[in-house]
Amino acid sequence: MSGVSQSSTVLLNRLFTLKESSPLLLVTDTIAQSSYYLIKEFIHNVPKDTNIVYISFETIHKPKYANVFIEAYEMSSKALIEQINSTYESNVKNLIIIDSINFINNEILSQFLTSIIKPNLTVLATYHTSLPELETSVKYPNYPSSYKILSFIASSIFEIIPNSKEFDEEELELNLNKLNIVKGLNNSIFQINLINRRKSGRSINYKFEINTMNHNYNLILPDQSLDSGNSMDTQDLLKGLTTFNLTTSDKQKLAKDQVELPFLDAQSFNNGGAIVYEFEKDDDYDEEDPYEDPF
Amino acid sequence: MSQQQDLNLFVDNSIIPQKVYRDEPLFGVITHTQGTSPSWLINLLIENALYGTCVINHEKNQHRQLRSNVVVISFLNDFDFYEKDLKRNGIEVNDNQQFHFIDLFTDLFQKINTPESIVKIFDQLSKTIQNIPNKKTILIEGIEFLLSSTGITSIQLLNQINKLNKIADALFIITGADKELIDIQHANPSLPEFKTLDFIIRLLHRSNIVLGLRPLETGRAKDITGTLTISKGTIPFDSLVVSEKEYLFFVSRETTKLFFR
Repeated sequence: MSGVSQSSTVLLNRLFTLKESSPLLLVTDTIAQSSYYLIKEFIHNVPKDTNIVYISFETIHKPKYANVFIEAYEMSSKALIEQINSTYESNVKNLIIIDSINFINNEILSQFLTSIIKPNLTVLATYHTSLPELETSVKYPNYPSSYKILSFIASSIFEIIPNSKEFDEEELELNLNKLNIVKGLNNSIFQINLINRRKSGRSINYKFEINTMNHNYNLILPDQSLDSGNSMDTQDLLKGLTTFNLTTSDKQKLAKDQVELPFLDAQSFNNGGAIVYEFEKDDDYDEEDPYEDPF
Repeated sequence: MSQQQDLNLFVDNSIIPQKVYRDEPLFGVITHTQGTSPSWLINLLIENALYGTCVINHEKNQHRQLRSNVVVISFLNDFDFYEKDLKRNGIEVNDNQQFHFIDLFTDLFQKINTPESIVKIFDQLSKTIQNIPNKKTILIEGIEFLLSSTGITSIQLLNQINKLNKIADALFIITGADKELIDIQHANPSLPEFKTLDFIIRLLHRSNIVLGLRPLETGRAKDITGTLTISKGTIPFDSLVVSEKEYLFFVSRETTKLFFR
């Protein structure tokens, strides 16, 4: 197990430090836990000489870490692409942060991404999944949704989840649907579901708890007790409870499994449901009685 | 009945901290539904932005000293409405040079009807407000009406808000979030509920602090009007810390009382 946890943390660190070559890193967030802290974690880890370009659709004030800040909200996509491409530096790593890619129209999304992606450049795009999405495009029916296009292109997807220990998931969703923002959301400690796609086509899935205060990343192992652990649990529970032996040995278990239970026998209707009457010596049979069974 | 409480939004017991006017601009979203009108809260925010005081808090007799300009932009009420309410809180707005009221309610649908006219109005507004010297707090009330009544899209409307956000130290957007306004049956982007939900979620995604006014879930009560939830927005402040909590509030003719839940 330690091997899994080690390699997963290594992968996460490689992603944070931009060592893994990945043209598009997609971050999906909600109003319950935004991508803000995860982006900060990237900034904390990226090499010092990285050229950080911030494409803003919803941020008014330039973040301190950004080398270039582009106010994109009233720009045409063509002008935006030109401006982004003019900031590219081929000799260092480039990180393009898009504060919300929801603002880019679904129909030009793939074209937009392909025209800014270059070698030595990573696009780190946030996608808000809380926003309502169009069922179909007006111009092209059957065109995929923005989320589908992005998750298809992305080499890694960071799905951000609020720290679930503190919330009842159902109740939280109910509240968020009513736009009630409850206490304790948008924390500096949260969980991510990381999907990483290798070049071979294999995709791996890890869940982490990210603490942005002390930069600790803990792998959360999938919960196994649901699949197999249950019967073992009752055995463990009975052990040592009393001086009586309440557990069953393997031999007893085997014997127990082989017992044919009566209700199973009753399931086979070989006799077609007929009433089978066997005459016994004490039975009194009266030929005159019209209600007597005329077998 | 439990003890009456002071209103404060930050852990330093302030409502709008002084730091907001120095180097940590604030973007706040206030959502309300039918039955929980936000006007008492808006009045308290106006007072606090102007003087740093709060009439329902214990230290209300504190000496009032002007600190920020306040611009109220309303699509819902006219000047008289605010004048009367603020007078009750001891604020004379007629001779207050720092209080500016922009009435977009009277001309609503006459001069303000197409997306172009809205863009024009906001361009003018941002120029006017920019010329006001010193610190600025802007409160916008009822702007979500434009989504359902005109052809403007949620993104276009947000771009107009950006113009004011750039020049404000503190900006509060007050919007209705009734179920009928945000319940989407069809994902059709021209439906008012689609636009409103899209708009409010995009607002929340840039908020530093969120205040939610809701009626009691158990129904109407004689001595409680509703709950006020104070929570962090999706974007944290650099150093300021929001004091997350839930109040019960009771609005009566004379005053508003707050209790802890």
